[in-house]
Amino acid sequence: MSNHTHKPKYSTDLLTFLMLMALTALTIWASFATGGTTVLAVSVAMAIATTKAFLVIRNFMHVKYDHVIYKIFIGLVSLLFLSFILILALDYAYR
Amino acid sequence: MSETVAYTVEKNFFEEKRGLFSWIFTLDHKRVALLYLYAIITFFLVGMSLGFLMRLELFSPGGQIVDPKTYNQMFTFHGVIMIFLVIIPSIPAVFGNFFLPIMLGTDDVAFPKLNLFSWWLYVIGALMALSTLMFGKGPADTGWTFYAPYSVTSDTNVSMLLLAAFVLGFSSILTGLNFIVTIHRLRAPEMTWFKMPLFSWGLYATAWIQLLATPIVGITLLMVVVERAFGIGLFDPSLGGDPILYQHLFWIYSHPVVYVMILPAMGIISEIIPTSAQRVIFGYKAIAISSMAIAFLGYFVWGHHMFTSGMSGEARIVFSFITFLVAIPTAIKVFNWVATMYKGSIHVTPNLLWSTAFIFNFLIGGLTGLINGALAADVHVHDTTYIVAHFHYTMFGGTIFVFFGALHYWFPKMWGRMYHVKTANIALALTFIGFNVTYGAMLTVGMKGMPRRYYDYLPEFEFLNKISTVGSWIMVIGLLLMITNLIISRRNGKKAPRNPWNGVTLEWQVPSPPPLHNFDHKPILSPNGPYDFSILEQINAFEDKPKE
Repeated sequence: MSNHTHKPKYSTDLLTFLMLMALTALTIWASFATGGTTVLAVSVAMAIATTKAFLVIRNFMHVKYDHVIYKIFIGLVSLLFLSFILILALDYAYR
Repeated sequence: MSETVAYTVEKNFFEEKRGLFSWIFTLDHKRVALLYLYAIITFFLVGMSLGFLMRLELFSPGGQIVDPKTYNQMFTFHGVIMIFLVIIPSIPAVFGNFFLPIMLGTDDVAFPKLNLFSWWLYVIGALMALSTLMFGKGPADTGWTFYAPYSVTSDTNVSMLLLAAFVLGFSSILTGLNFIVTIHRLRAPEMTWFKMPLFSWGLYATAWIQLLATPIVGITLLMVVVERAFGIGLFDPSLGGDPILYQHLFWIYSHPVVYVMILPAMGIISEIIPTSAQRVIFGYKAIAISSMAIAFLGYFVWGHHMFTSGMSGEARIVFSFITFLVAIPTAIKVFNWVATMYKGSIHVTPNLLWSTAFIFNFLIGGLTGLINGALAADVHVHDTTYIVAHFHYTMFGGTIFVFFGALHYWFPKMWGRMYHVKTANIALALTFIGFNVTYGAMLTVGMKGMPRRYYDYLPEFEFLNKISTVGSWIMVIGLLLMITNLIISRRNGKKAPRNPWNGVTLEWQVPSPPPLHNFDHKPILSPNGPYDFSILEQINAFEDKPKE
């Protein structure tokens, strides 16, 4: 992209890859440690997956180096998604 | 009077290349638009025929022309064709593709190959949908909403139809993506955001919905296919699934998608009315921002389709409240259109008449929608023909009326020919009268309690059903007359000038039909925005010099 202010480094990509691998291992360990299908297990798995998604978007998709408008749009979309989940949860909690 | 500037007419985009392959593998946005148009009109005629047959079946109580199962398959197929193959792609894929780049002052969309690919996906999806007629127990009988658990257990070709809808969704996503990038990156250098024509704003708001909401329904439909194929309990309660979850996931997409259908139509009305009234649009920024507001709020109202489904009371109150909020930006638009016409120098053209017919129909559609949005009233009208009529008032009387209005507005630009105005007006009058008789009667009989999707009905509903069916005959005559008039005019109509309606947006500055790369001179942009009629003389000074 022409908007890049810094050139991404290979070392950052490698570090991100290693972090993703580590988080994958953590997901597997956590599924045993938290009982597999409990609410806690799902919550922990989702939290780790969200962290991984954040790393991929920030580093691998180069949003870190991109124009601020992309960060705003990604933030808005994330908020939208969160709202869907919250409203769905509202129905499930009170049904 | 400014000086006349003559330009030698280049080859137009029809003349540039000839032959079937030059069309089906074209990268020209205008040709892709026409490919969509021909396909959409064909499917519209198929869907219209099914609707016509359904009305014939309901002419009297008891069986008339088909059996109950075929009737269920007919309304399902009618819905799928009209929603996924006609209304969703209609305005963005045809007029968006054709006019967005020209209105922004560029020569094509950002990704021409992706644009062609999205048309091919549309064709593949359409063929998959049509294939359900050919094998097994025929097309799905679930209704276009594919509600679980029936869609999980029906022995008709539900899976193939769901996969077709999935593929069509991808086509829609790619079109949306293309438009977002085109609007962000390819606007003419002096065209700032608030100097874009309002049709571009409508398409921009729509594109975000296409991009963000469509994947949800895509994955939901695949979940039904997985449940049907492998018996995984996602939505079927007998397998441990939750049918209300299906409804949530389906309507998270399918409510925003009604704004995919209506927002571009509203954008077109915002083009036709200033041109017809020859004055700057009233409240440009309010209309532009209200498009984005509708797109945003439209994400949060899906639950109003589920008031009687067993959703929690708290969620129902939230959804009902947000539903009423959507009425505000919509009303802002209607007010601004009427205010633009007020004391304008109005030229009554067929495209203006289609637009005013739209405003009338959409007002009825919108106001009946408020009744549906009210919790208590909705319980009374839920699953009645009142809902069917409300939906047709917004989608047919709204989007499709604008689609035909736009066809009359831009017909001279697209094909370089004028059409027969008197025939166009008669066709509109017949369609408008037929439409209101058909769906007005359906609203009334629904309010009296006639259920939707029923093959048979009680004798007290017969009179209004007969009126509705007669209305459908008038409407079909009007629609066929309109299409015939345009087909004949395409060949035999008078040659159209560059600017037959005295418009000031950029498409009126290019030849009719446009050349391959759209512009034959640097477009004139007013510093006062896209609807500044003080530059009309300058625009009309461009004149085509015949080829030597």
